[in-house]
Amino acid sequence: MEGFVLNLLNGLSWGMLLFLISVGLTTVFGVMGILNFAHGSFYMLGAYFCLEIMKYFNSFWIGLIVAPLFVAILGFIIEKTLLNKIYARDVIFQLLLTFAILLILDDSVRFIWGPGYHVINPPDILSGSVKVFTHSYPVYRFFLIILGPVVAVILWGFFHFTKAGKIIRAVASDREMAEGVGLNAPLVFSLVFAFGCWLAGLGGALASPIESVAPSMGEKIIIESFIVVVIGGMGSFPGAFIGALILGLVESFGTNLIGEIQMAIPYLVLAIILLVKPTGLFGKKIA
Amino acid sequence: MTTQKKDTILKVDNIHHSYGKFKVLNGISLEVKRGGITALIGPNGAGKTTFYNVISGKFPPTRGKIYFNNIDITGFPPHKIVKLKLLRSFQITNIFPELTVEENILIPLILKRGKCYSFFKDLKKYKEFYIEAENIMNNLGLIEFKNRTVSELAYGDKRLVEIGITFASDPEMILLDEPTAGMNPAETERTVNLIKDLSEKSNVTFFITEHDMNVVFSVSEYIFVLHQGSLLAQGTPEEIKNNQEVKEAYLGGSV
Amino acid sequence: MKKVFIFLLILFFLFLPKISSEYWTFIAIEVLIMGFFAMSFNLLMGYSGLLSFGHAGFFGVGAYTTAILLQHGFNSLFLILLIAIIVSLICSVVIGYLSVRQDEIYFAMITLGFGMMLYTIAHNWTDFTGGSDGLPLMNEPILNLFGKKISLISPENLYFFTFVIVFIGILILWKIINSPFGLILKGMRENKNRLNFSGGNISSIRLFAFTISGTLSGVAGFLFCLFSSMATPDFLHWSFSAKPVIMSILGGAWNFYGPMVGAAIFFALEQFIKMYTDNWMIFLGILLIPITILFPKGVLGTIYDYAKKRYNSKS
Repeated sequence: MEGFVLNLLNGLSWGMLLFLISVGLTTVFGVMGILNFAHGSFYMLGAYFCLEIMKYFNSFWIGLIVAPLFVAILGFIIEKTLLNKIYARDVIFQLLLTFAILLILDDSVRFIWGPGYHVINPPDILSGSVKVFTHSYPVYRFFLIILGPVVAVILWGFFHFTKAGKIIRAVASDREMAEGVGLNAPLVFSLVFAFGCWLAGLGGALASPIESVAPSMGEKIIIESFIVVVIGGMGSFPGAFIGALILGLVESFGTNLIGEIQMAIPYLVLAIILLVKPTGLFGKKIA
Repeated sequence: MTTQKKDTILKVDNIHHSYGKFKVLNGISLEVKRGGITALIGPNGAGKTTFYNVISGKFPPTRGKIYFNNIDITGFPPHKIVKLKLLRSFQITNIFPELTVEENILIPLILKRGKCYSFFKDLKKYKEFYIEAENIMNNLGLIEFKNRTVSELAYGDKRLVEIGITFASDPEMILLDEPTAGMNPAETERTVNLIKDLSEKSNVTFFITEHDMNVVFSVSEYIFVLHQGSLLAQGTPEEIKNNQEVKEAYLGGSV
Repeated sequence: MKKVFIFLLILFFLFLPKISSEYWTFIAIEVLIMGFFAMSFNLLMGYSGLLSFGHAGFFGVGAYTTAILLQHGFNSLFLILLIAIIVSLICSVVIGYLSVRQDEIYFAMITLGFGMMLYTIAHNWTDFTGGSDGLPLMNEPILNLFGKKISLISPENLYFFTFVIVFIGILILWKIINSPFGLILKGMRENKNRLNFSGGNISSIRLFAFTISGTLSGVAGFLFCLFSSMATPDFLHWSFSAKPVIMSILGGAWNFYGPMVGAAIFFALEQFIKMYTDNWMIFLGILLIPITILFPKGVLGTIYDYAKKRYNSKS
């Protein structure tokens, strides 16, 4: 029972982080048709920016608010200068370009902050731990578990009740139609990309107290959020939420059940879901 | 020849198709006789292209049956329908753009002869393919463009390549979707003559959709009229010309 | 003219180890292997229009099969090569079967996923694969050629062995792209819908192409294991899968030899930049940006097109 609860908590908190990353990835893909390899690097930058800001203000909260904004601005600039040149081109070039951005960002971080690990302490109010049966469990993870659904609800409200959100959803679900009504204005693309980067940066800043902040953190999460996006259905918002939960929980429970092939579990989940439903859980049929 | 013409090549029995809630085809039944040129007409949005998509296996009908040469082909994937020699060409030019005209024609020939999985023999050693391709290009007046990349050709010639690809698969029946769409009058005339010519020279049954009524009445021997997803009328060109319902459908639909 | 050129090129490769230092011989081996890997990969990307982002998986399967067999005392390299071919063929068929129904970006994603699955197996199944440290070759690989024993520890011997295998591999690829199947692949790249409506079974054609490509990548992995005297999980990582993509784009994916040329450019650049700095990745990234934006057909392809246009306008 105790093991079960701990696994559940771990799975939920990791799932919520995955969700934050994946929802940005899936929105960008849905709207712009670009699968962003560098998305994980923006996540990593969120953590590093947070680290840097905390040096000056010594407040996690300021870092949490400001770091994602900087990431979003960087994303906006990258979209304006690079990505907008290749929308009409073959998938291969889009992937390669975002891969190039990944290489540059990851190596720049290594160059600026060094290859080693950094640790960020959670703010005092969240730094304690709670007794779960006989174990003490960090409060910060509870914070993530609660925050995840809150963010999900806010995003859901944004997508369903605001005009900007509705436009994004319309474009994401049917790009051709969106092009027909003239929604492919360059600004929409830039803003959506910046928004995706903001979400990634937010995820990175939020993850910084529980994950070690290192140059490799982006590479680790990008593959998993790819999987989330594929199993949830590319471009699907609820798909990203459910997919992230499934992956988070399966990974967390997998640690006990199967030792050695534990790391292969996400890929097995991917294979099984795609066999049963090739377009992902919430994916539309590809024309 | 006349007795043979009475034989049915394609029979469509009460087919329905809908995109979600939107019904496009509402129980169409018709029989196309073997040989000659039969036309399918109807105002825009009558469901002609969807009808072709369903017959050629792009997607199955939501209800109803399709028989080709008395074989039930309902729900067959496209490549299986092609093996039974029911072919289609497309409204939007559907070719292999960065290959040469000759290569465009060779591809269906390879597939037809079952040499798709010949991995190690040099294609050039299949002399018979090149001879056949040459014949087809001659018939279509494309021989001078043999080694040109198709994307460089004029629009009308691209459409001819498209017909050539369809023809190379050795069809018994060809579904031609708007063969003269977007052509200038000269190109249209050339294409119309070509289709007539092909129809006379071969035993292929042509089933065409066409928006240009002059073309329809000059080439076809029998006409079906679709309107709002249902069969409105059928008959010889004379009968259709004088059909009051058809006139109304066209006036009401397009003006 | 073209034949003379190819003949001279082969001659050059034959005498390369005689005229260059050991260091450059090693680089030449690496270029040959990676170029061959990229060419096998390009059968999918350039000829069939399918972007696989998991090809490092097959490469790694070939490498690990070799390392494991050598460690367990197999001493016939030809037998090892045969087994490596069979194992990577099986992996390609299974993964291919699960992937070929997907298109474009979805295909790239799912192959990436399966490639990473193989990576995690190599990384985690420590007893069998040595885990993250990889599996070093304990036994000296010895080629038994008509009773003559040739050690492949010597760079020159390894060079010739690699050259022969790569030569045969390229010959197979050459045969395939000039066969009826080769034209069908190009047709699929150009317009898979039309191919389907001309009687082509897309899934099955793709599966064949995928299997050939994956199996030959496994052969490249076999060679790479001998070259680096070990197999490590890095060989299967997705960033390794990006290498053949980059090489193909550098050299030109629509040209048969493009990926090989791309591999040569890649290693020349790497050597050059590493003389000055360790941050090779940044430079690779900075280099890739203009390539992806300005050269839609790859560097060689764009130059070739430009030259052809010039030539056409003159004549």
